[in-house]
Amino acid sequence: MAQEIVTTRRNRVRWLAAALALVLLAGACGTSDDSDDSDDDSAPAATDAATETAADVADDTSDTDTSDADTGDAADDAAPAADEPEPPAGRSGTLLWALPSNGANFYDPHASTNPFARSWMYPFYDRLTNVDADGNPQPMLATSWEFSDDGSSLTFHLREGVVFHDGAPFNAEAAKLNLDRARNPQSAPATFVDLLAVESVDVVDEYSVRLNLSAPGGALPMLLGDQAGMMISPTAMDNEDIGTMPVGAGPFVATAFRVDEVMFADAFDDYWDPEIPKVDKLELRFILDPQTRLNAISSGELHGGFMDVVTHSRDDAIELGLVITERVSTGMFQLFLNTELVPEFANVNVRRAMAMAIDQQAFSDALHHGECTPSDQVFSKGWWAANPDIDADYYPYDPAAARALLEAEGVTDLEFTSITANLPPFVAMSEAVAGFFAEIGVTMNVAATPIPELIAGFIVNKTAEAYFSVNPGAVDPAKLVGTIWLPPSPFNPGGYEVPGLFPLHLQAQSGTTPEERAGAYHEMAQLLTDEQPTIVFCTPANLMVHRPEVGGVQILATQTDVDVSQIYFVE
Amino acid sequence: MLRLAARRLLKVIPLLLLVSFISFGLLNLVPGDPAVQIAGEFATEEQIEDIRAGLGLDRPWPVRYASWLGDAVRGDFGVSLFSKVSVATQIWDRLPATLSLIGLSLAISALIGVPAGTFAGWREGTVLDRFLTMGTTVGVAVPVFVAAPVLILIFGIKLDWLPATGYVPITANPIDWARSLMLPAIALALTGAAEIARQTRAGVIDVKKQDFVRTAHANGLATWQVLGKHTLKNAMIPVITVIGLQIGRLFGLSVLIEQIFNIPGLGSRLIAAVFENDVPFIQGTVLILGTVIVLVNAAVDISYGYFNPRVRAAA
Amino acid sequence: MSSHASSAVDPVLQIEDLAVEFITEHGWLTVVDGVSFEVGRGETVGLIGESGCGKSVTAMAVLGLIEQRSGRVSRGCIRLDGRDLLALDSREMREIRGRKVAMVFQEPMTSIDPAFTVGNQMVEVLRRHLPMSRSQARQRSVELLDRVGITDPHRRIDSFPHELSGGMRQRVLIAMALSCEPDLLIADEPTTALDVTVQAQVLDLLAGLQAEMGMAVLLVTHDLGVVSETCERVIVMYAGEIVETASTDELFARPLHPYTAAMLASLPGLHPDEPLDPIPGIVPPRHALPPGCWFEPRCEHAIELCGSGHPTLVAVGGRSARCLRADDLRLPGVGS
Repeated sequence: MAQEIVTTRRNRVRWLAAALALVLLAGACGTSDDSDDSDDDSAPAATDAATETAADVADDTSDTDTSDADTGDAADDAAPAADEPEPPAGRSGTLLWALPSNGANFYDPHASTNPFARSWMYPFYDRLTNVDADGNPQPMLATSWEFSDDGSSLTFHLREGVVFHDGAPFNAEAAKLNLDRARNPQSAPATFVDLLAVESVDVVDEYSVRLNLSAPGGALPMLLGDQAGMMISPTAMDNEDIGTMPVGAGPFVATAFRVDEVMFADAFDDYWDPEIPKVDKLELRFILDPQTRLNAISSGELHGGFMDVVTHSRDDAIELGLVITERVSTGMFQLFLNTELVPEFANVNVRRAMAMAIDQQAFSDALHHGECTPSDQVFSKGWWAANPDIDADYYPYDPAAARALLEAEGVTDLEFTSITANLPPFVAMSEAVAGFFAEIGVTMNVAATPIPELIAGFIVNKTAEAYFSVNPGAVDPAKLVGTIWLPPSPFNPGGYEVPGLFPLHLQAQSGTTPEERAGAYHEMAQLLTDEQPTIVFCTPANLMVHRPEVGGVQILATQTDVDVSQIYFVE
Repeated sequence: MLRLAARRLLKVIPLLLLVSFISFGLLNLVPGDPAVQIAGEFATEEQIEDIRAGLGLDRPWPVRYASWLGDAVRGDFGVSLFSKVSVATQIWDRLPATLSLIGLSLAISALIGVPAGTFAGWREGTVLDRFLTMGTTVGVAVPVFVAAPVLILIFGIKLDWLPATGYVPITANPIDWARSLMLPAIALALTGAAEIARQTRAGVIDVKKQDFVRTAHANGLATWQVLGKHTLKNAMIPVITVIGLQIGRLFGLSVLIEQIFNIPGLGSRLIAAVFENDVPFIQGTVLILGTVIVLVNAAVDISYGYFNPRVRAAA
Repeated sequence: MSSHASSAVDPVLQIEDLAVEFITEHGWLTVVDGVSFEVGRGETVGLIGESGCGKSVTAMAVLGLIEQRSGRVSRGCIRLDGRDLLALDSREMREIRGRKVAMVFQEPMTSIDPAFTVGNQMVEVLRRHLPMSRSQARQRSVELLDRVGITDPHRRIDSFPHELSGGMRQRVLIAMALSCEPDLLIADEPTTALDVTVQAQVLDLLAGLQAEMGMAVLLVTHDLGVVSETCERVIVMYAGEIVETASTDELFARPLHPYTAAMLASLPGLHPDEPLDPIPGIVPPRHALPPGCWFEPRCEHAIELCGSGHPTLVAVGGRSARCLRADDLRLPGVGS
């Protein structure tokens, strides 16, 4: 059935698909914040992003250095000679890049709750830290940081000699102003949640700030590598148009913005890292339709942009002579449940039966050109939070066993309604899910719902029984957990409590590095996989398609997000 | 003629009021709360209430309608929900692209449709007629979202004659402007051209049997006079009606075309605005587009007076 | 063939053995067959017959407008001032029409383009054929309107057709047809659509104009009454053929063909006290013509012989008739 839906898909569906992928998330799901971009501090290094040329992709799938290198075992042998050319020494040209979402035309780092505004912000706003491709925080505007021994404070030592685009100096005072702004629910609906553990911020000296913590803050170095840690010029912070004309300390200076169309920017001559940027000018263009993006890139009018795997297969891009750079995102297609409205959802065996009813590979093949990596655990494969010992087929596709499990629980005639974005691909996916559930005697009615009403229905008014969507991922697993699975989490409207989850969540915050925190998350992954408080489907790939003459594409961990700051033209 | 124009324009006023009412009212009837959108998923009830009050959403709708209309008449449509950018500025920035696209595509459909329909009708039953009729059948049948990608693939990518996507304002470079709009305008014009050709053909076939055409022949008028003057002008009324209907349709399709060709017009913005629940922008745009359509249709009605003098008398 | 019977001194129009075919569901059918006659300079000739007899088709053939109606001239010759019209291409023919030969149609209500003013259309015709400036043509149009009896021509010239009555429109059409002073005017039922008083005015106007301009007139009509008042000679057609030709006086006094006699008998007004006597039966369809005389099935004088051979048009002392019994029948005339 899913197969049919896909094969009858027409062009009309295609452009809507675009909308879907982007927007749906935008309005509907989680605001996760963060990202990572992969470079380490000063070196503009072309370390990571997996880049495939037509040649290598043709014979194997992917590699991705992001560490989630699972797929491409065969990758290495295939001649990577042309892969990622060395960046040139100088600076040249105008980079034209297509973004698939307009980010709601609002790029105040602390206030924008749109999960797709991030790509519009990265070139303009440097963060205190920079999260690399492995999910580790690296120096950026802060050169180092340390927790106090008792974990009650976190001190950042700031880079000296940094100026904002408007000439204002970056120092501890500026950092404090920003951090206070970012943790105020009034001014920062997007980031205050990330900084709940911060009780106050002190200026220690000209280039040191201390965050006094009221709770374990192990995730902070990561979270401050994303929106919460973006530094706005103190003299521009209250500008009327700060939402559309960024003034930060990033490698590009915004020069003009046209709503829903384009952001023009020039290289920032006083950027602290003289190696960056590699281009003279930047134009970020909003193009919703995936086909239009691909057309613009293949015809040479743009250099690159997001590739929607619902609409296109890799071959579509490769046949056009384009290059794909990819990274597995931390996002996940999931069915969110309201245990209050449907008491059966509170029964773990019912949820397990539902997980067993899904043929994830078929789901991915039919609806995502096979690019959605099947998973039964909530943290995507390759992420440091993910438990490598959990089989992707933890719940093998087994309708008979699922039915038996339901019968054993005495659950018959389970029927519920799931809302989903009223965009054709999402409706198609939901219908496919309903088809799987029908096999085990569970009736899922699909309610295609206008995007603005999704959050209202599921989170604010709590009137929806279930919600099928994709969570775009997060820079730190703590953010995912807080958003989705804890009793007060917005995506847990029934307030369902997974036994043992909260202690693990606290424990995970007391470590200060990914290595220290990974153990707790691996345990949590085991718990959440076993419990399935949300039914997990698969991880969407985050693919960028670009012309072979550009390199240095840094893909973020959150779905559709990219940092174009270090892109260069191959000489 | 002037009297006809004046009378017709008077009728526009209640229509425009209706348009304004619909622009405002529809969006207030639709469920969905912009305040929830702005507040984000971690918002408390109070935060949402505050935002709602800030947007003026706590006032009764007649009050909001009156104040909105009062501002709108003065050209102030408020600011966009998230970006806070003036809606009027956005509309004036984007209207030229949309109007260029629609104007050019109307011109193309008339320039193709009228001659094709005229020749087909004039040479009814010949091979030329059958060829043209087949062409129009195909033209009507091929939806714009099929035609557009094909045009892009052939002329934008394979042959690389015209830009596949993008838009250049006429003020920047008139030649690039025309080039950038050529493919979208053609894609948009195909159905219209076919529809106009069919209507023209039917009109010409009907008119060429009329007695006055025989008179024109009997008086020895040249073919171009009989066909281009007497036949065509009389055949034009249904064609003008079709063109009037096309305009509303073109505005609708321009939403799609602007997406596909990445043209920064009102249509492409409208889609995003709907997703964002950007009510002020949607209201302003619907009002402006509705006004344009109402005025264009009035112009079409007035033009009947030119093509059919009896309409003038009836005014 | 026996064209001497319908010849004229100083002919403007000479038609010889004209045959016209139209495509129908029965294939190509001849609707005008072997028609020959002449119209002399300054002469008025009536071409009469019931509807469908081919008289209008003959007139259209002269104008070269048969192709407009998916027909063709399959045989014969049409000469205007000695020039073979059938040899002309369509562009040359367009220059003849309106200039050398003009036509007035029977439907004044619909024969003028409603979308343009009277003056616009008159100026158009004048400038098409004569080297005139726009203002000269307009001046001439005003004069013509005045000449055809339209009052206040300076104002009327800017009228649209819908603002004029039927009689005025017919006058406008006549003015248009005569604007280039053609040698031959073909008037196809010019008064049929008009009411009786207006009919007389229009006929008087035509007669007056003809006398003034000296053109030949071919008056196509089914109305013998009209013919009697205006024509010098009459040509009677039946089922696509000429069945009788004669001077008007002779024809009315002593018709030679039973069809002519029957038409005379059915004439209203001449015998106002007697009931109308329509001709019984119908014109046979072209694809089912009788083997002998085509009028035989309807003829009250028919004899056995009439049903076998198709009669030819035979000259009878300066006139002609297509009837086996032309010599022995004594058919009643009217008037004298």
